[in-house]
Amino acid sequence: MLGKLIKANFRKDFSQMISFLLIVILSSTMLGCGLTLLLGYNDDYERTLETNNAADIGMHVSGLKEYSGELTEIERYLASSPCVENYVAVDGLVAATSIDQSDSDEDVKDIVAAAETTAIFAPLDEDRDIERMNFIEKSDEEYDNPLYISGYILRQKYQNRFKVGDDIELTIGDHIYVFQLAGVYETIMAEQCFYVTESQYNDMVETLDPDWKNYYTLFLITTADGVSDNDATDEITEDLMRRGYNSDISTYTKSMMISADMIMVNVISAILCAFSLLIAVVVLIIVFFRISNSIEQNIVNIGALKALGCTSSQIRKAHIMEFVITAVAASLVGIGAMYLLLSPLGDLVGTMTMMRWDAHMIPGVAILMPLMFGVLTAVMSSLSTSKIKNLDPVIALRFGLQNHSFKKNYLPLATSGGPLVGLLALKSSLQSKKQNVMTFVIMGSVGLVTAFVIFFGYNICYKPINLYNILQSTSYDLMMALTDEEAYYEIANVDHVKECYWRATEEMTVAGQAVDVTIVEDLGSLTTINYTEGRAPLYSDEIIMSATAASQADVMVGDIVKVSYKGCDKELTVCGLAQGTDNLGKFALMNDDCARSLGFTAKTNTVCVTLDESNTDNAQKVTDEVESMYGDKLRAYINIPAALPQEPIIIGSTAICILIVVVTVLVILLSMTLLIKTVIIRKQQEFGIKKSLGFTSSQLRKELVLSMMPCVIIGSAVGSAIGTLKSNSFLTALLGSLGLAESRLPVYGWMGVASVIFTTLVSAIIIWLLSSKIKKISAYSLIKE
Amino acid sequence: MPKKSIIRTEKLCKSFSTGGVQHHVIKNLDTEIYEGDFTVIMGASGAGKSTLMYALSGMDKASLGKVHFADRDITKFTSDQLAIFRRKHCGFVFQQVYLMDSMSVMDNVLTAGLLTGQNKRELNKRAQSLLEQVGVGRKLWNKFPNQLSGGEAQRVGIVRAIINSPDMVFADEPTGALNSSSSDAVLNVLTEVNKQGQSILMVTHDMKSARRGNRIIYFKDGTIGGECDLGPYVSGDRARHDKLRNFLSDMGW
Repeated sequence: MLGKLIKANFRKDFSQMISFLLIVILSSTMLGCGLTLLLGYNDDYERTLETNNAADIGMHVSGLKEYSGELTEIERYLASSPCVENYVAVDGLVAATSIDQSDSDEDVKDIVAAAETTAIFAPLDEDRDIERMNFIEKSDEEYDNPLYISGYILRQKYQNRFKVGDDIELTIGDHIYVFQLAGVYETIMAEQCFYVTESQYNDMVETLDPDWKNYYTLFLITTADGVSDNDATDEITEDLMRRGYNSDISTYTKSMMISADMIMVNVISAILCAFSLLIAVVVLIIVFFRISNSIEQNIVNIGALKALGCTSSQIRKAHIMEFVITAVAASLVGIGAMYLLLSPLGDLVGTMTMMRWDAHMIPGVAILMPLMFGVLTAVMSSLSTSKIKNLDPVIALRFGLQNHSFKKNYLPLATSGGPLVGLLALKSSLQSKKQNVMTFVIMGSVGLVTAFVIFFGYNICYKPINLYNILQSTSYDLMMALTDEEAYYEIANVDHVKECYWRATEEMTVAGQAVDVTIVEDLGSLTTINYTEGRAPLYSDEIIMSATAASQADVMVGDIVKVSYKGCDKELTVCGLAQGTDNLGKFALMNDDCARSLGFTAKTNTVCVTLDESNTDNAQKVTDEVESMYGDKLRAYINIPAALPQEPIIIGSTAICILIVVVTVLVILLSMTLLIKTVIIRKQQEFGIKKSLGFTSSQLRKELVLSMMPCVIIGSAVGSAIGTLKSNSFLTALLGSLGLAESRLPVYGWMGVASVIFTTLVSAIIIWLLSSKIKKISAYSLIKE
Repeated sequence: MPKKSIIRTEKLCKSFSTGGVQHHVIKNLDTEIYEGDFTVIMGASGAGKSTLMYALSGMDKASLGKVHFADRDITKFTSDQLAIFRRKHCGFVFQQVYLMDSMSVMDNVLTAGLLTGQNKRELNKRAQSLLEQVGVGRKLWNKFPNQLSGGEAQRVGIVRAIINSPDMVFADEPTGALNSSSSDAVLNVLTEVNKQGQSILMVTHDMKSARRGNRIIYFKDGTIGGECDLGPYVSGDRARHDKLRNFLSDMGW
């Protein structure tokens, strides 16, 4: 009996169930991808770290020749340090290379372009025990000049243009090297290295002109038991500074690399999960109202079934099972769709992180999703069918449900002014409370997401400089490296330059933590510092700390902290806190006089420029002008507005925005399909009567669209307003782990308005298109029934 | 004076296909419906009398042939043209009434009137007058259809059908769902309206209802089996009743 009832329900609701099926497929696919990314990537990452015996700390030492005294001293220190369990030293050389690309017309002074062609060459050591060479692909063939690069470099720098076995021609100065790509490895801490044979490496060391190479050593360190990578880094940095080693040393920890790698993955998975759950909520609301309407439409049948002896429980189960079966089937299809999407998702993630991710199905997710959708749908449909329980068969057969007894005559035509179709639409809108609630919830959710996408798209895809500005401790549009230490005086007078200052960066220990300290002449004169609290230093014993570093050291504005630099200790007052993602939020800012008091003499040849109007053209104009003024004294520059769109985070964000816009339109389409079909079925008779009176299909379609518009607009406006006002909070939550204490991206009223216009227009178009079914309703069909 | 034809058919055909089998419901019908008449179409169940009425009104499309309504061939009209045509030229009274349940009595009537772009003030007056005339008092004007009795609802349906003074009111078994006293009230309204000059074409299988018409068409085997001219309705006219009974008997009723 139950089976027959379920079948009958399916036959009756076939087209609505198709829309329901599609929207659940969409939601479950997105949720599946989000969860797989969230759980699977983390697991695989951990496994890779373990397989590789990843180093806890990577310490880069530049400018020291192999076996130089200082390098030996550093090795001796590491060997004796209680924080260090083990280490290996990878000696290499940094060389500016250009790859054989006939279409390349890079500006050699453009740091972004140059960075693409800078390579660290090192002899291959397959036997090292720390940060083992984990080959994803390796050729068995013997090559004359084998080259081994990381999957990260292959993806990021060479966009997977090369395959194992291909020749790669690299030009370094006046030397041309033809290598054969013999293997692709995967590592987290040493991904920048180009590994060659020992003999090839020695040949490069001997033959390359000193102008084209720089010595480099990478220490891969594992920490002693119970010592965290951050604590060990702080201690090693402090000790080496105290010993007065002057070489360029920079350290990064495994946890920093993981955080940096995870941020984009977490952002994508959070957005996917949040959006899919939002769709799921919309789905559940649709289920509730769909069943509710179905009961009203079929109340006589329900009465007849009861009269024939069917129990309420049987009738309810038939309704519940119809939706539960569809939801479970849809989520299973969603799992299938997710499976197909895993490979492209893995590729996308791979381009943004160090690790290639062979995404695979997680059994838990595959089991959880159908279970979750099934249970939630069962609960919602159970609530919706509860009215069947108390329905008396006689009442059902004779009168139907009483909730269609209209009590209030809104906008009586005799006294209300306006065009007839508009008045009827408004009357209909005022009388359809359930439909209004459903429309409001759908459009509210859609408006919220759309407003966030507009905010996100504007600040991250269209004007990425805005995101950049809040992620930097001190932002700028141009950074130029010159050989002239006085250049910044003159650059300040160039057209379009709003602010110009020199800056230097040095690693120091602040409150026991190794942090990157940015030194400028007068922080008080800069308008681009992202303060979260406090002010710029007024005296030489004041420092600005990053909010992240201050939080980790439990320091507040007004506290005194110990700052150490190469054996010199000083107590400074924290006068302000700033946010930024430099060094994953572990940075500090101080004035030049303060740095001098610690024994640091800054070079003033790195000049930062903020433009009056930030754009690529202005940045280029300033660069050209500076180049004409200083010629070869301008060694390198970064044009931030030009470089930003190429950043993986911007590319990834743009992809997310496009995905969300497409999904938003799909959600509107599918949910409106369900809603409109329900409305048309409910109003079929009314449409037939109106047609017999002389209403054209077009008038009825207009009436339907207009009747839904008030709720569409109100829902969209409320959702858009919340989305716009809370966008920064949402972004703060997403990027918090990167060091962003408070997102302050510009929010404009037009974002909300654009969201309302977009969602309203899309909805109106979709409702209009879906309402074409009204054309098929004839006045005659009304009589035939 | 010869009667003026308002609807004229030429070789009108209507057929349906059911399970691949063609059913010819109307076969090459040539007939005329006259202005001012209360024409009644009768016939056995399933004879196709309603199909004929809706084909004549343009509510349903003819398979072949022509229907000239108010000097226009409505078989060439599109659905929207037919809808616009119906506004001024047709009024419909259905067996199941089909008032719009989300609208009050007055709004049901006014909706039809406002569609033709009439002056709202004048339309309102006319609606009130017609409703009073058919015995639907002021206290019912703001009620919803589910708050009315069957008879009341059908009388509202008649007012809605005549609010635009159409060329023809098509009534499809208007008393089919009503009890005896309600039926009489509805038929009285239709008779009264006809006396005021309104053309009516009614389909019924009820002799009592058919008696109200002045011209009876018996529809049989897809064509007109016979016609009977009863003359104007006079209440309690026994001879009229007998004439109709004899006619129907001849038709095999």
